[in-house]
Amino acid sequence: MQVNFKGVTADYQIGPIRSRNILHHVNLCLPSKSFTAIVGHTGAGKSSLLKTVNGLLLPKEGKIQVGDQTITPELQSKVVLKHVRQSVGMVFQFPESQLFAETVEQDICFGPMNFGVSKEEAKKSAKDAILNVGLEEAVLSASPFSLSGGQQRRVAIAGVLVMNPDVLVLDEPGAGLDPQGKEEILTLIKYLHESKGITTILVTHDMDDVARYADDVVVMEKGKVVTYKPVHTFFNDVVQLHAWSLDLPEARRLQLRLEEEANVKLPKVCLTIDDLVAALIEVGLA
Amino acid sequence: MNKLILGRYFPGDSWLHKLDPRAKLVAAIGFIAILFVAINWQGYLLLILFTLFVMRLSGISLKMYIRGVRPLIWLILFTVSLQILFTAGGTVYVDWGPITISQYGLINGVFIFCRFVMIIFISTVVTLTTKPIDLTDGINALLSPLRLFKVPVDDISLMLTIALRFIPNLLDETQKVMDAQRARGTTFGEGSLVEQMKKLVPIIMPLFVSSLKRAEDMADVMEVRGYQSSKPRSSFRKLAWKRKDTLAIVTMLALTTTLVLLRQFGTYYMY
Repeated sequence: MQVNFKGVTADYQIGPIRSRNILHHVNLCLPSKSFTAIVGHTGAGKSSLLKTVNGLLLPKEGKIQVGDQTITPELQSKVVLKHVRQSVGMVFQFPESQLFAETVEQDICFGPMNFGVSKEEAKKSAKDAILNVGLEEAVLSASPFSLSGGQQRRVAIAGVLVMNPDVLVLDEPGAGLDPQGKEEILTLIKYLHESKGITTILVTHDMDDVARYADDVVVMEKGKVVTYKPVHTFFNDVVQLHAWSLDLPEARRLQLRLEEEANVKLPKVCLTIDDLVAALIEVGLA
Repeated sequence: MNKLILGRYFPGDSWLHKLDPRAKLVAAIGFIAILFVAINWQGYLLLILFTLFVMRLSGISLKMYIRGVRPLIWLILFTVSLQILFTAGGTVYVDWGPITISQYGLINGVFIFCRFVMIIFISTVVTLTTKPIDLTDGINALLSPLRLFKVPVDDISLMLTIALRFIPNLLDETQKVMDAQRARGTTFGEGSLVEQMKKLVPIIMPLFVSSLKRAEDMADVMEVRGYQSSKPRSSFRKLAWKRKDTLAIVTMLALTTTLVLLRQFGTYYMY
């Protein structure tokens, strides 16, 4: 499902205080079945952009098209919102803080049942979802609060995946997990993206994640989209990255260092260690 | 979430903002007490004028105060209607057995309504013009005589400080959890009362869990940093009693005296 932002401007109104233009005239078209990473500094508007995708934050100007549904500033229709929210799965930062039910099963069924799926069917999909996120079926009858942090995160993600979203939006799904847990979760997301063709939008601070999982990168700065490029071209322009004070992935850093020391130029931009090893073998350095 | 005015601080630099929190608290409590001294329209008129004057002094628009009353309006109307319906005396206008609408009932109703509104206005003035942290300092100072009776005054004020300190966090978190549940298809403000209450469970539960967890973390951190409740504590902010604070208290005393005099010599309505 395609997600298309057309001149989206948005701000928050908190009591009498209005924060100006959290999003400023964002034009962005994310094609169907793409995997896009959104990077940028804190306060650049990444999370707000995510919230506009399913109408939690309505734009002040412009519109957002999600598949054949359109979110506009004057949108009041609960039907459209419900459709959009059903097709857009949203994994917030620290999603485990949304767990509430007595058992994991009830918590996972909460979403689908809100969208009118019958109890039996919801339970069936809950079973699939829990296996999908790499937990055992036995977990379903446990209390979500008895699980470890990593398991809770998986349960929360299962609670979103169970709705079979066409678009999956994730805000730092790996934050606060150990490296292994983080890798497992992101690999899982990548797998789901590939096997089910889910359009995936990932907000992250970690350039290694961008390099490893995403196809395209969006850089946001002060509420604006400043670039939208495929990952390889993006990490090629070292000078520009430096100007945005964004890091390089580890492998790319090592590659640049090697090129400088050995005074060679590797044939391509290497984003993962495997790429780098292959390239080094190719030029006969390893 | 942002409609609650009662208990919120509004930055400013009016005369009232600069008043010592102790003076403000004593004056406010005193004012609420003398509301019950007034028994006739002269007394109420004086109190209403005084309330309006104080509100004017705070430099905050009347609209804010009215928004503060709004959440409580049903409670007020309920109490007022009880007064009107069940007070007998004077000329009786309607008589349905135990339920009567009488002259005294109507007068009482009006008085009670004024009393309610003034209590809310005055306490709103205090919270709107006093930083929460100053408020707890003031409460701490006022409660300190209770130390003689082994009341843990410092613990109480610490609890108050912490509770007030975390209100914004709690509001943030509520917003986050609401967003998350809305993304999972809940719609708020729809359906019958029971349905709406059921929809609150997915919000309240996560808030409880995170609050308890935060309380535990907070207790650990305080202990690690050497906090002991039994030890005497010094204070970073010192409260200073100034001339205007004395003036505020004197005004309150003058108001009280006037009211007592009005009670003696004014028209007599309530009993």
